[in-house]
Amino acid sequence: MAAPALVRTENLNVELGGLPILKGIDFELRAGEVHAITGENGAGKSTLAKVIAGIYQPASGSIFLDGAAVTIKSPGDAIAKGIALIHQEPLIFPDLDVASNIFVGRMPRKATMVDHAEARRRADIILKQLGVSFDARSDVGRLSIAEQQMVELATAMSEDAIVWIFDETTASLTPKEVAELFLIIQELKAKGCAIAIVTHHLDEVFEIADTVTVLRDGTKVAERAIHDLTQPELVSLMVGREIEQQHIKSAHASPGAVMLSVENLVGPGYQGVSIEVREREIVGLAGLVGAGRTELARSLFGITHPSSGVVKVDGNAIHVKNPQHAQALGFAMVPEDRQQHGLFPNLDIGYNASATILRANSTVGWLNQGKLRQAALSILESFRTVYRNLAQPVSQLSGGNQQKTVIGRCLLQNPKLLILDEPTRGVDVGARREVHQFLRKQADDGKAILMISSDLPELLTVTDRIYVMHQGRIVGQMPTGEATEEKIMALAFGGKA
Amino acid sequence: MKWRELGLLAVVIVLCVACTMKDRNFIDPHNIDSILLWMPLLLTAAIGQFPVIVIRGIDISIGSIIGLSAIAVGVLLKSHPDLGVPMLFAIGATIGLILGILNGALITYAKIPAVVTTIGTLTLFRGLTYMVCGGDQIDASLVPDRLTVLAHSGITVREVTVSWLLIFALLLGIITALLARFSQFFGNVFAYGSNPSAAYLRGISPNKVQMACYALSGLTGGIAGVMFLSRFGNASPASAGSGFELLVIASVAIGGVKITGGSGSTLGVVLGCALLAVINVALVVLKVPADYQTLVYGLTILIALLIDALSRGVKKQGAAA
Repeated sequence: MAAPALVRTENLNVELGGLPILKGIDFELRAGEVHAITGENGAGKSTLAKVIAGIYQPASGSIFLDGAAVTIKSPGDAIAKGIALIHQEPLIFPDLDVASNIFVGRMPRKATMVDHAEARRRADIILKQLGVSFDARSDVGRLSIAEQQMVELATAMSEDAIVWIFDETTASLTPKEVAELFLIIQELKAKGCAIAIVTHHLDEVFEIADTVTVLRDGTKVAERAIHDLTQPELVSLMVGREIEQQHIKSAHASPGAVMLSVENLVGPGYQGVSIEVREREIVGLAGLVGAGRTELARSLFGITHPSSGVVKVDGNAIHVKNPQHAQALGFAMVPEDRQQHGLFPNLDIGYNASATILRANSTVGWLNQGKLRQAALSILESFRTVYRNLAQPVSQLSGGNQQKTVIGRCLLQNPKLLILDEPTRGVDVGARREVHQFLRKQADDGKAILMISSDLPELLTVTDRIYVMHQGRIVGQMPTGEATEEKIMALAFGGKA
Repeated sequence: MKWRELGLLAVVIVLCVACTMKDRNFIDPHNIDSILLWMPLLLTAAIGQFPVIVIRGIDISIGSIIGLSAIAVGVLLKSHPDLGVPMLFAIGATIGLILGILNGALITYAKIPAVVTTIGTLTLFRGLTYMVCGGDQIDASLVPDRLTVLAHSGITVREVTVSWLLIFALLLGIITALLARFSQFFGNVFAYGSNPSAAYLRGISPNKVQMACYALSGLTGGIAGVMFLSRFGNASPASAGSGFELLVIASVAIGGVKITGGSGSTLGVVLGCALLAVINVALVVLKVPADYQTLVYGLTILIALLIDALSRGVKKQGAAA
């Protein structure tokens, strides 16, 4: 294990959009080693991978390659230096054939002409080593995700990469495909390559890795040899963020009637899901990225459709046809990606805050501006949103105030069920607390709230009950009073509570 | 040759046969001449537009590039009436290249979307055209015979003349076809068009690809401008190349170059131009009233794009199954 470090970072700091993402990371990746980088959602795992692969530039700190200090200027530069990053979503060119995908930007040439025959010959040699069932002429757009992933591996092989970084590569693969991938990783390791795998699947860490580095909130909390470590120890290294505030209790002794009940629901990204949300109750949905939580929420809101199972609202089985129908049923959703799905960034705050009630406040198509303005003002006020005036573009607000605007808008519809997906991501501590207290007040007023969050302290602070999802299934539920971060994480990682 | 090209060829042939059955004069050598006369300008400009569309861009300014090149070369002939034909083409190409580089720089470095940039430069270049000639026409007396003869003589087979201009344009087409298949540059163009962010992550410089594509479009526009002088023997600053941009873009789209990027073939572009040329002449032969011609044109473009959209839908379903 005393092999020299192929890649080393020293006091590496990375900022994205002005926020520190990685803080003072010292990381070593040695030849002939499989090194897992793990941590909770948002710990900075992928960012570390992307800095080494030249996609992000560090704000400060150094990167050494084979002992020499280097600047990795761009992804192309990383490739030239023998560093390959295998992405979670395979990077492919759907219109090109396999050979052109593998050699894109550096097709073999005869004289000055691209030599397609040679490219195919070389591609087929590599594909044969990988033992895949397609060949160099295949149309990449028609391959499965796993096969496309193999095209990426073939690309890295053709680049003679010596440093391989797998960024959540197994997320979209079946267990059999994962096993095949691990065989390939073992071969690379035997050849003396340095391999880093970014993952939050603990069983994978223990199956394939020699060493593990644990990140938490952008700092490195531990680097351990895998045989010195047990699974519970690893979980306890990953969690342990400080809880900022006391649990916000319900004003009621017990929740009300069941508002939403889901029985054995199967759909895109989730299976056999049964949950209940009651009036006056905040229910948390914990799990890792990709566990199926957002997918479930999207189906509840009618964006996608379950293939089987029952959704009941106030005891009546219904099929949510589309988001308009969901709203008519009294649902409101605050989506995960505020920028993409939540805001109209160029429009003003007033419009953003009242966009859900345009129809209710119009007469034969003419908007009643005065009423809308009143509604916007009152909801923003009750939320203590900080803004200059309603005509300001919403994009000028801070993340926290933007999120208050989005949540406020949903509440103007006076929904019976509020679904929130990562409601405080990118929101500062003060605004978070206000959002939490506001949500509790809404629940106390009778609303049912289903809250997806990857932020465990948040779930422990604000919810009454927590479901945990893992690989599309509900793997546990508990009253928040009995929950701990360790319990939730163990379930989320596919272990036992 | 893929299905898309075969289909297009079939449409061209069916159209020709149908027109001939309707009116024998359609295969009259004179008529074929007029079809062939129609193509070189369009084809040359379309060849430059092709990589631009492949990278999900668009060059709407092409009509004004043609106009400015034609007028500037004409003005130059006033003071230098002895310039040789190759020199005239070289000057036109250089003017086009500079205009194309300007487009490319605005799109690549100022990050103005291509549609907006080239709508802006469409007007800007037209304005420059008026400035260059002071609003005056380029008279037929200024355009030397050695230039105009290229449009009307060439290789004649059984009374049908394939003009030197068309031969030149077809040669450009063949070169482009070879480059598309065998050059690293076009490889990068197709990769970038297929998945821009992946191309960047694979080390392809997006700036270089974009700059080169718009520069190339300008270059072919500049050449087409000189062809314009050759073909018509005169040019006015208001009408030279005006409205041509839509024909160029339409022929590329009809030729099967995906507007969403990443795929297309040179042969398809050639056939797309041929189809527009045949329709243009067919409308006259079939005595379609002039008032309806633009309508038929528009319909052709829509139908071609509709077929593409439908076949993509089928393909997607096939891949999902």
